[in-house]
Amino acid sequence: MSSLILQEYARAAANFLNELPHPLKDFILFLHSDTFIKAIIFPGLLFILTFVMFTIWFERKLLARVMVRLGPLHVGKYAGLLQLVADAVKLLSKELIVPEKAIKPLYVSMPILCGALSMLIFAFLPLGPGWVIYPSDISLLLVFVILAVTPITILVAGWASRSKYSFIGMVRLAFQVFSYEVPFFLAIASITLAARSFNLEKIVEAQAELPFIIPALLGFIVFLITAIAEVERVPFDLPTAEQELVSGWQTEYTGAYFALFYLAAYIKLDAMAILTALLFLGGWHGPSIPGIPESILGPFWLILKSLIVIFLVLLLRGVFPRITLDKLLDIGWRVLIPLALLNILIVAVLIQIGLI
Amino acid sequence: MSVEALLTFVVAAFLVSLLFVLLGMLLSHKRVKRTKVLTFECGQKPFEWRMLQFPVQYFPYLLIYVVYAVISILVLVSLFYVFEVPDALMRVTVFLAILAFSSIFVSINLKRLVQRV
Repeated sequence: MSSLILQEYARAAANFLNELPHPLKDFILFLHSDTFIKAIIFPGLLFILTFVMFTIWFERKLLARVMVRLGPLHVGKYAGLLQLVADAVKLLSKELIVPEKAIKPLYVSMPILCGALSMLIFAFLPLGPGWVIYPSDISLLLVFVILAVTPITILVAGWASRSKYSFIGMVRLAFQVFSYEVPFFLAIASITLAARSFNLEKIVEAQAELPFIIPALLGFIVFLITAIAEVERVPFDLPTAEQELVSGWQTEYTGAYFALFYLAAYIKLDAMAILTALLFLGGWHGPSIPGIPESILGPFWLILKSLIVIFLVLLLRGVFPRITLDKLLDIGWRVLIPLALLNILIVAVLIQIGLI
Repeated sequence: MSVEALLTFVVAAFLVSLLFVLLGMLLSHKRVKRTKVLTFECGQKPFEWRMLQFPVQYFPYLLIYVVYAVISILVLVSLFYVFEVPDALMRVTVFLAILAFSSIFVSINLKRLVQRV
């Protein structure tokens, strides 16, 4: 009975679609095509924005609990879930100030570029078997390239503001890049050696039996530390040190520009968490739950694992103080690079023995 | 197919970022006072902005970064070699062992890198 009604509805819908004028029909067909769903809805835009909103809410709530406060409470039905929307409206209604000494074209264009580029990381991150916007054989390298390009937009933004605080923050960011870029790259290289591929989907498939955190534990530690430095989270938030440099390289930015930089930072944090889950924690592999299809279960496990990583990273902000620049530079080459090289050696020896 | 998805996503990402700025322009109020346009200076009047000093005391770290950047590219190329020729793993392992232990040796023995200016 119900199937008959459904068929009736489908026929009516098809008739309705055929009677529409041509461009409108094409548009509606595009709306439920694979391209649109992948680019805009699931691994794409809406998912990223929702995930980022959840991350920011989660951070504020978690930090509040660490400090025995309540955190956002009043906006939204449950526990201030819509606080972020209220904050965004507030930020958008602030006046857009361009300082008179700033280099205007660079100052105005860099927030847009930074936001868009950090969203582009998600184009190459698979969130499940087949759930990827652009499947590529070198997706890990593409992700690394975009991650390496985003600090440049921030450097230019700090330069173009022409303020002392922005300049100091920018120089600190440049030194931070010097310290974390190489160990980050080497930690990724050990994973490519273990999986013999740069394709993130193949890397996850290689972890079906054993997640790479076990053979490459040192690499995981190095990767996590450098990833936290990459997204400027608390032990390494020297460039935006609020207590010393007002707000570092984003001192002069207000309103929508600041909102874009804020968004970009959290998008990078989420991308890093998902990348950690993909490279070291076994990606979308997990125990199967009866009654739930495989195509939903994969993203579920991946997002759960990345939420655990995000929890860990956010907790650091409530617990650790900021370290100084010379210490960060020292750790970079004195500890992290030797550990990363040792990790590649261990992985190579394990492959030689035949354990991976 | 996937290229279309990528292009749609790139366009959408840039459009959302632009939309933020456009919404900001629409919603914000326009009268900006003269004092707000000045460079931020902790409640003071901004005084002369000159090229700030580059922290020269950290210069050795830049040299180390350059050296290790080249070495990391070498490691990557050797990994490509392993992908192509699996028998070469032994030689690459020896190379990695030399790299790892020499970097540990250097990092233990090279002290006091920050220059006092």
